[in-house]
Amino acid sequence: MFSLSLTSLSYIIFVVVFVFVYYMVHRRFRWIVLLAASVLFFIVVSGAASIPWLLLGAATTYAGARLIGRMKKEAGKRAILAIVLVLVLGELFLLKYTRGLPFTAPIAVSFYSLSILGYVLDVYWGVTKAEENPFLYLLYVTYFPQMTSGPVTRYRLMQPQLREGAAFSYDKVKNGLIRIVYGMMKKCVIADLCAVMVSEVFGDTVTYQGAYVLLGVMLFALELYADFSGCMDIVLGTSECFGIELPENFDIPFSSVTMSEFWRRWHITLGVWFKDYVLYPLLKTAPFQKLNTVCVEKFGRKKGRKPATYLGLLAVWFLIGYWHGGAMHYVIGSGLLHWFYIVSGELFEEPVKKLTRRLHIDRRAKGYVLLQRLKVFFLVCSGFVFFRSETSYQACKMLYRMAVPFERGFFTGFSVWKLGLGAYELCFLSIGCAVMWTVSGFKLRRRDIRTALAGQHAVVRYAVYLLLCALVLLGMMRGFGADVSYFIYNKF
Amino acid sequence: MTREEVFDKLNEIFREYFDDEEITLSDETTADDIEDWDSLEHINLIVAVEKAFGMKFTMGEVTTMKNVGAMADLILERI
Repeated sequence: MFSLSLTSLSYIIFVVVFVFVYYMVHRRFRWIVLLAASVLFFIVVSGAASIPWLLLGAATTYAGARLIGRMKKEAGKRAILAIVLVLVLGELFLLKYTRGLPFTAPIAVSFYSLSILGYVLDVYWGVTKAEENPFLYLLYVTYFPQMTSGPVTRYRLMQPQLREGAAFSYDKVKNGLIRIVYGMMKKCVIADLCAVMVSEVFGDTVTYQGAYVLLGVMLFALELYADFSGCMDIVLGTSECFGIELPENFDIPFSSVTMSEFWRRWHITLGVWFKDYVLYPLLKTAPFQKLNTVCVEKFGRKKGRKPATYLGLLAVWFLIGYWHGGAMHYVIGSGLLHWFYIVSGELFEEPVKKLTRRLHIDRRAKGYVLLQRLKVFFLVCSGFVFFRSETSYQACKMLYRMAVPFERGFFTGFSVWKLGLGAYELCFLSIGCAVMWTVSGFKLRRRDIRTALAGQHAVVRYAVYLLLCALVLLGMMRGFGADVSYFIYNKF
Repeated sequence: MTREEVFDKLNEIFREYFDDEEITLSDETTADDIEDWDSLEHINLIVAVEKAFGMKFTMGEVTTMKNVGAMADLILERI
């Protein structure tokens, strides 16, 4: 069976063939082409054995939403919703967080489970109507670009696009293909080259200490960003070719000046999902409102509103950490640690504002903004230590070894060469980073680089396209010791 | 209650909630226009509005409300 890894040539061929067929058939039937592509993609990537699990989740939510839509009584609706939640969350728990099962989980189960749960909750809340066509609903669940690592989607935004199909647009197909190649470059060049050095540092906690660990962690931040956002570029680029707009998952996260802002820019759809479907309903429950009333009476209006919110956030961040893989190092590194940073940021916001005013520091000055960005970057890196480590113990060991005084040779003798990459690879990595930096610069100024490129002379345009393609091909051919078909977030 | 009266009352609630007498709401006002109105304050603000008008928003309305104008329309439907 051929591979359909997002970074393979066969994936590009798969996309091109289905884009061709999609626009060849009448617009009314285009969703059927997407469904065929999605089912084929699922069978190839996930295996036919996992189809029953996929269908179980899809059928449960489809039937549950239909029943909720038909029922008049609130108690009945609530009972159906409870059954659906138990079944879908139970399936997710069984497939993702139970060790030693004799069967494999469908790909992207943690991502599509959130999308389908959101759909049922939206039907229950009256935000959207229950879908009548089971095959159209199956397309929503299996839509192949998102069946690797999300993004987590909303039914009410996806359904009209999937059902109506898109009119052919040369620009959309071209821009989609450019974005796919750009995503591949981020993965095959930046992420895979960083991965070599990161594996070296994280694989040997005895030899590496001090600056090595710090460098390893910073490189992992770069690797994870290039890997996950690169994957999203391929996913969103693919969808763009079909004229279907998927929600963005990244918005130059390392430009954030606070941790709260970082989470509005990193894995956006996951954060928004947990806010809308967990945090808000939780904060609106009677116990949380009661706590709020008590605290407001005791601490005053402004301060009193905080404890209940922070408690709700604690529950949400625990769940976000747990969602990443169930292990304690994820709960800490992708959950509780971020809760601590966000809450601390909130608590210290006013004192810091007062201090900067007293010291006549302009909070909008470039130097101050840069310092804030560095602060966010290093706080995020501390969470990544847990994310990348096998266990919480290893993560603590890494943090401890980082605190050990820097090895003297690191700065003077360029011992960075020991980390597994030669001059050629480092040069290659630098070019990849320069390209990513340039694209991010355009994004920061809210400009689309592809539109800017379209206005350039053909020679410049094709030189850029060729550079991108060359980087991807070289990255794919050399492999750099890392697995080009493996994306970090595919395992979640 | 007229739409104007709803807006007057909303102005009062928002000013008291955010401790800012300069807030003047319009149909298009969103969380982006009021510095302290972030996602963490959203639910408490919603509950304050619900209490003041003696009505309830559904969770779907809470998560999809586009601006203050939409909020006022929902209030007018319920009271």
